Amino acid sequence: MTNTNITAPTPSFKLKFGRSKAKVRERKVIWLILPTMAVLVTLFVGGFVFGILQSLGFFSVIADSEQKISLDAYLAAFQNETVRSGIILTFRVAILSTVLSTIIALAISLMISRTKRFQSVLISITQFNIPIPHVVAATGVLLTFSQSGIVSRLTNHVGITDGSSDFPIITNDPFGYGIIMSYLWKEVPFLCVLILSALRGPVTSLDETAKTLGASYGFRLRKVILPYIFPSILSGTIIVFAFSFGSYEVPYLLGEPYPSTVSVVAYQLYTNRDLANRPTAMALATITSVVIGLLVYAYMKLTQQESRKK
Amino acid sequence: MKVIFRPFFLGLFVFWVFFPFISIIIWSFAAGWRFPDVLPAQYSMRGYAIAFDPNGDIVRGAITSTIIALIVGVIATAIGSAAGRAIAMYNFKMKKAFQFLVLAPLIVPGLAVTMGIQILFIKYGLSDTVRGVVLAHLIPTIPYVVMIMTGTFANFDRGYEEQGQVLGASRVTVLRKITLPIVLPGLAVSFLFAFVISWSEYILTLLVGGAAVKTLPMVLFAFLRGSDLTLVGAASIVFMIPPLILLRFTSKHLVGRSSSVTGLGSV
Repeated sequence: MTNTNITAPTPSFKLKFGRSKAKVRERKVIWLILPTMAVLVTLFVGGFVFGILQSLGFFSVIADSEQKISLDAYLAAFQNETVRSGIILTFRVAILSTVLSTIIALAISLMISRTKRFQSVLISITQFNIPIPHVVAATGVLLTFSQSGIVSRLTNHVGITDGSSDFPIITNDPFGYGIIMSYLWKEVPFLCVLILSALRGPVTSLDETAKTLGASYGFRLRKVILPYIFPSILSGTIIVFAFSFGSYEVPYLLGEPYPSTVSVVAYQLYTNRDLANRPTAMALATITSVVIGLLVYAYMKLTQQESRKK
Repeated sequence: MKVIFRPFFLGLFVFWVFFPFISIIIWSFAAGWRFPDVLPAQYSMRGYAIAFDPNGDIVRGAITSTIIALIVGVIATAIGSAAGRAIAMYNFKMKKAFQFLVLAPLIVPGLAVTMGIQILFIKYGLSDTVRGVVLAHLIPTIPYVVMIMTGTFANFDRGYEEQGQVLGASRVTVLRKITLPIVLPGLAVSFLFAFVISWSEYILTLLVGGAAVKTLPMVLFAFLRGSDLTLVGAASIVFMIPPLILLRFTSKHLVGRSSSVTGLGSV
């Protein structure tokens, strides 16, 4: 996060205005951050805390006198078979989506930045599906890669496959290919936009200088370009990982009938007719949030050490 | 070998970006499309006739979605840019904690948080209302606005504002004539992100709005559970158009020397 302190008072400034000016500033900042703080503390922190409380048995929707406070919901969550297979699928989908989209986006962005012809057209194309809703991405993958999708029709027409049932199941499959494909389709361009905008920054003149001094592209890539765009890639991978780990729409559409990701399982438990499942759903939601938080924290610590080594 | 390497992969990338739309577009015009046929035997405008029926689910869903996304876009952009300005230009107590609070919703799934808050929404009559849905949509949108506007205000020279003040302009005039025009690209991109996130949101709307607030994603999901893929295709096309129109007006600010997205690269 940028910490540019443009308003740091110079000594003469301080003499003239003394402390009162600084106090005025402090009060003004409150008004700038107050609305955002109010919304996020009430809705986000409130929702998080109330979720934990409900997972522990508070505010039970079941009207009975012997309401007890316990960790039962967490035990129930871990003993649930659907949850267990959901956890594996969730990790697989999130890790593969993040790693693959980062590698592809980096390669594509570097290639676009080296291309002279059609460069602006290619940049527009990377932006093109940023605003396309994930639901549409999932629909597109479904209509394209399902057993009766357009690819299956083409392979059948050419004679590679024989009928729709001969086409491999890659949407609504147990491995999560369809989910991963949808995420790649959405996240590669997102990361490209981030990386390309970093590549357009001051690094261009540094790269020019290194080039003039006779450095090869490979050397410049390692010593100039990659270190410079590293923070952007880092932020991008965190956003992509957290999103693909906790999102609902795509795994819901492309996961069934197999056990789906934890967010889908949590929602199913939450809306289950048996209200006794609600604390379990809350426990699962809490676990998911904490796990993502810890993983992101560990990742940031790890990459900080890495960049310090450099 | 090396010469064809780059065009080949870039060509593949372009193909990959547009490939999923091919079947969506064909389906939207198809009058039935049986399996082995590579192309539909017959075409019709039935999907679009239903999609643009003024009393149909799609048009009504689109109107509800537009209203919600516009309100969310305006509120999120307004309050998020103020926070972005505070982070980029001032030092204050607990700044690190505030930044953490702003970034946390990017990491923690909105579904988890909204499930927790739902009992309060029911208690205070926000459940099943547009107001409630707008509030829920603020959670995932504000962080993007704050990040984009922090990046925008980091390159902002306070000198312009001070000159205006010295020359006797009121605070409102300074804001209207100096600050807003300078940060306009950032505001436009923030609005694009907030609008699009709200427009695409399904699960938060379902949790808070229930069956009472039917946005376009809920209509599309209902079609996807059915078997009429022509309707799915037409609804998907209608669903994509407003975000793409918004992109058309903001795309030049997405990539550039002073790109507004750079803020997103600084978690």
